[in-house]
Amino acid sequence: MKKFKGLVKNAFKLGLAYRAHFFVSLIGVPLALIIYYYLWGSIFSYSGQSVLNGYTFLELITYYALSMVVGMLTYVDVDAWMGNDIKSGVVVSDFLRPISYIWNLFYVTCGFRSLAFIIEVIPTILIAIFFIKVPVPSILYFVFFLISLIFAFLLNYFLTFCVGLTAFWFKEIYGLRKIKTAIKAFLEGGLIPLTFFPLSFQVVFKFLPFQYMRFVPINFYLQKYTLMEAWPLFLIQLIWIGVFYLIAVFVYKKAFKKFAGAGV
Amino acid sequence: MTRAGIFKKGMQLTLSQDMAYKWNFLITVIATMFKDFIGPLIIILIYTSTSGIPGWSLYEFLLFQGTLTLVFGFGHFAFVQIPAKVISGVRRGTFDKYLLKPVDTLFYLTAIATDWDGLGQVAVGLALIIFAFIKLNLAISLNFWIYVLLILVAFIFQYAIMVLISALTFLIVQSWALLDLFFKISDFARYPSSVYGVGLRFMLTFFFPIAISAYYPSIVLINGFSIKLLLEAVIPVFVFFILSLYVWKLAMRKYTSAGG
Repeated sequence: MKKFKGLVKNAFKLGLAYRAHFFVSLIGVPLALIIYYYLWGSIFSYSGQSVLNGYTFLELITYYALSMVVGMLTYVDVDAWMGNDIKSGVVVSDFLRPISYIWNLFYVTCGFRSLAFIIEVIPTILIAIFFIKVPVPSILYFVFFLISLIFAFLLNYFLTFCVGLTAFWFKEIYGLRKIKTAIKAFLEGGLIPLTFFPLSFQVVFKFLPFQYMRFVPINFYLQKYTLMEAWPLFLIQLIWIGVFYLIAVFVYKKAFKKFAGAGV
Repeated sequence: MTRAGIFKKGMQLTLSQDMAYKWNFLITVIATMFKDFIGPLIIILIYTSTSGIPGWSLYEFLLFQGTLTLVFGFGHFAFVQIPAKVISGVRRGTFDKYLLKPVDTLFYLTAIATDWDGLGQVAVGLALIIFAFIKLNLAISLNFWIYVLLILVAFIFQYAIMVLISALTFLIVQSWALLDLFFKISDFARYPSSVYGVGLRFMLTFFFPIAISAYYPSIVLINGFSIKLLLEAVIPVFVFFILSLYVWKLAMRKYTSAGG
């Protein structure tokens, strides 16, 4: 626990050094909400329907606000750090730490996310409340939301760590990360709710890890699942976490051997 | 060396830099192209499950999006590395080397700013435009040539923005935040100004004329033009351009005086 606290505190300080960025991302929140508000306002009024693919106008704007909140809380960019560390060889110093690489980076990420909670998420929620009458879920569904949010974070972390590990082989993974970001944004439901896809696509998405990182937590908040549907969703989230954790550990061992073998 | 020669040399240099990691370069180009197809995909999803965006048919909207992708792609290809070079140069203290060159600093920076990843984006934009152009049964008429002209004006706006951001790096804050901020604001250009309210539309035309990026060229190609429309599209951009060059001069004066 002490180790955890120290690493989190360090990340907190690091993050504060980049406060200009946090400031900009904060300006981005009302800007994005304004864009979605007008865009969907015009689409809804043009369609003449009050519900489109399962969402009312208010729910849809809330969806986008929640998408930002979930995105901020589950944001992981360890693959970028790993890419730099591995390319420059700094990663060697991480091998020497008394804490494994995967958990070291995990704690640092937790630190950044707790900072993000204070300086990004809370203001975002306030801005959203200021703009629209945000619907509030029942306590049970709010708890569901929190649980699936934590799972989403873990899943995102291990998946991103796996992407970062490819740097041991590819050296420069900027392009690969870019592809990952684009695929994720699209298939997680970050840009449009997945219910706007044809049904056959939606079935396929159930078997991919992506929707469990954003779409599912958001829809728990919006109470779009029945109680019967809830448990399998948690279970699938856990399974994906397990899968990516195992891949991460296994590939890391391989990478470590390869790296050590190269004469370092 | 002539100015054209410097430009050519600069492009060769950046090409070999970008090619240093060939696989990464290839994947980066694919990633950029993939990312630019997501926008149209979302629009298709919206148009297949709703009545769409008022005033724009699907293909008209794809034309709009293609134009936007082309303009921002060109900005990425030709100009975005200007502020990037300035920001990292000022941070590391290596910016002075640009001042020592026997040519105008801004010209030199522009000459070495080519980012070859951007070509993929330009290609996607062109593909979308051609696709929509055929589907809409458009002809190469006067409207088309005005459309091309407005796209060139949109390129100038891209340049103006990048110069302004570079200049503000010296005057306000030395960080990537300004560039991020620009990309956040430029999200307004992703949808036609006609969906926004009157106040916002006014801002996007006159105050921060980003509506030139796709809105004005597209409506000219689809609906034709009037002199009034062209003036309101073009004049703010040129004012913005002159202003950004002025701010750059101001920034340069400030920087040199602090160093000397």
